Amino acid sequence: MSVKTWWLVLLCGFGLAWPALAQEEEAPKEPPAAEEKTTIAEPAPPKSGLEDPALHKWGGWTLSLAGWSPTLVGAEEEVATFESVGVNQPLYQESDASIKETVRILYHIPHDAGTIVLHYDAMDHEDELQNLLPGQFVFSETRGFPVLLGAFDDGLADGVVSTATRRTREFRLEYQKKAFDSRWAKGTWSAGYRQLSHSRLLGITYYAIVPNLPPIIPPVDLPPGFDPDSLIPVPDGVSQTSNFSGHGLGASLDVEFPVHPRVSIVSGLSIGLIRGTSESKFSATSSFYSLIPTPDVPLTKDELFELLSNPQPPAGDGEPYVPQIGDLLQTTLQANLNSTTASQMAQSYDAYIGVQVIAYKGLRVFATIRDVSYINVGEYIVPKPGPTNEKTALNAGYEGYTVGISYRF
Amino acid sequence: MRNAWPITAAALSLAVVLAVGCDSTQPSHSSAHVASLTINASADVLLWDCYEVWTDQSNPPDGNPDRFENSFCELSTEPGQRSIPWNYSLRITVIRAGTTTEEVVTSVSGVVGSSIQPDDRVDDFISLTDYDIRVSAAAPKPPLDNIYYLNGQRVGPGSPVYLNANTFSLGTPNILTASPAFVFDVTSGDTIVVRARKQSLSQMAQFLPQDPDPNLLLVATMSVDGSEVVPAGSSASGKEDGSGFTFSFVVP
Repeated sequence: MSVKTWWLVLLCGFGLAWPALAQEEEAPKEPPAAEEKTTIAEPAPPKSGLEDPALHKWGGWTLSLAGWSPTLVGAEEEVATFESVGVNQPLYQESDASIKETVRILYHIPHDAGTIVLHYDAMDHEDELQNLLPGQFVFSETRGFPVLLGAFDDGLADGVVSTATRRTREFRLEYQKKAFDSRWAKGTWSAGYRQLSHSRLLGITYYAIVPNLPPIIPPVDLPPGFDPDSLIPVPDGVSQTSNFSGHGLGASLDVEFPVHPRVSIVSGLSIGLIRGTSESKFSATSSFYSLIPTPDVPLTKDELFELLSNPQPPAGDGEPYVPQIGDLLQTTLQANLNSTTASQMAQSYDAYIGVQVIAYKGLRVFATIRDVSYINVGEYIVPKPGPTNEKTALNAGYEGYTVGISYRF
Repeated sequence: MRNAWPITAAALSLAVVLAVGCDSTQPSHSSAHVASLTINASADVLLWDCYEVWTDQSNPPDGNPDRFENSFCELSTEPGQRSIPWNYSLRITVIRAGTTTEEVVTSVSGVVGSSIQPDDRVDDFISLTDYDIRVSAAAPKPPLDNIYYLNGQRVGPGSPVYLNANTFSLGTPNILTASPAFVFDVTSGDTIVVRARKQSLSQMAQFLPQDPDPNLLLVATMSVDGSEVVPAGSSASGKEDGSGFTFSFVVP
């Protein structure tokens, strides 16, 4: 988390706590002194008015809505490497934070028999990366199927554009009960059903924006209908998706440390085990230059440049074939792979700590720092030349500060 | 303090405003620059001795040449690498920063940066490299009868002296009708792409001897804000007939 977000969390906590700390409590009225020396009973301490409303005959509800700006961690995608000062540096598709919501609906069972908790989280990150250095082929196409990558089949590009979508949905239905209640701390435990889904879509395009091919301009004589733009290098592309969904069980412990009648420090930890299935897809495109008479035979860079620089007249009858510019074409290669994992065990960890203030009877305002981790929520599968494929388990983490309110009625 | 609501609301509002408003990202800065392109051609040649041919019309001849007849050139044995006026096709494009598509440039004087576009309104090979302006003294040539060879100049076949003596008229040197250079505006991050090819030998005036091989090269020089730059690709053609070059440069 950045220094700015830490600072804002502290500011929110101070902003919430200060007025509450500064608020004076009404002093109980002193009973008038009696003329006779008689024993006067101590008056009962007045109610502060901060307690939660009493349950109705049908129970009670608490609605909680929080907003947070989670930063995606542990899910960076390396889209390419680039050469810098003789060293290959990774180029990552990172993520920008955006405001997300967390919803909790609690039903308080009558007679303090416990609470049913519905919890829903939705995190979406859609990001783009563009890194273009026309004419400078310094990007290595590390995510493509490693056959004939790059405009000149050397695996290099002078521009990379990628888009990534990371989406997580978590639903919890739990039973919550008081664990302990003392002067110093109050704790509740909860356990129940979890449902989790995580999907990723990564698309990368590797460009050869300025390949500096010998110019196809006059006096080069092109056959009628031949389009010189057909020799512009076709970009290589990679598309990778992973979709995981499953359900399982989870448990939580939430603790509240009162530091003032209105102010508490709150923290909690939640763990979940989810079993689900994962579907992965990989698709890659590359291309190479060839001639119409031999469309499956790639031309080397030298052969291509020689043909474009010094085109020769066509061969006469009975003479060996002489390559012509008009016979040039780009042949496309495609590599696809789909996979479905029958069973995959994922784990989730959710921890938070922060400050809660009772603003009004039943109305709480809180600000916390939250960290959520999802382990083994999907996989990437990548074909390799030969009989084996490469599988990579996916993790996702979200961290950020949360600000929200809850109201009990 | 009896009622903390207003202060609580104010503190939360302040935190939200700061979270939304604080942005330390600096706005991007792009600089304007001026690019200049010149193209020359050179070849390995044997130099020519060119003379003014005068005759003595006096009767009897008095040894003073009276009348100019014509110009005359003969091949010397001195080799040299000299500028050659040669037509070429040319296309100058720019890829703006953050994009992948080329667009034809326009010079600061409004000239389209291509001679091969359907709508460029100029001939494909309108561009012509500079003439050879180097001149040295030719070896003296003695008179023959009453024919005198005066003002001898040793020049290359690309010299106007040689070309005029042999009635070759090639036109005015220009680069896409601009002269002496093609000047256009660019901004930081733009990529300049230049493509050019020599006119075929068969389509040129036959003033350049082909034996021995002249190794005619087309060479480009580009500068940005007055400083010559080193581009990616090749800024010189091969010696083959009709060959050309393509190069690119990213404006810093």
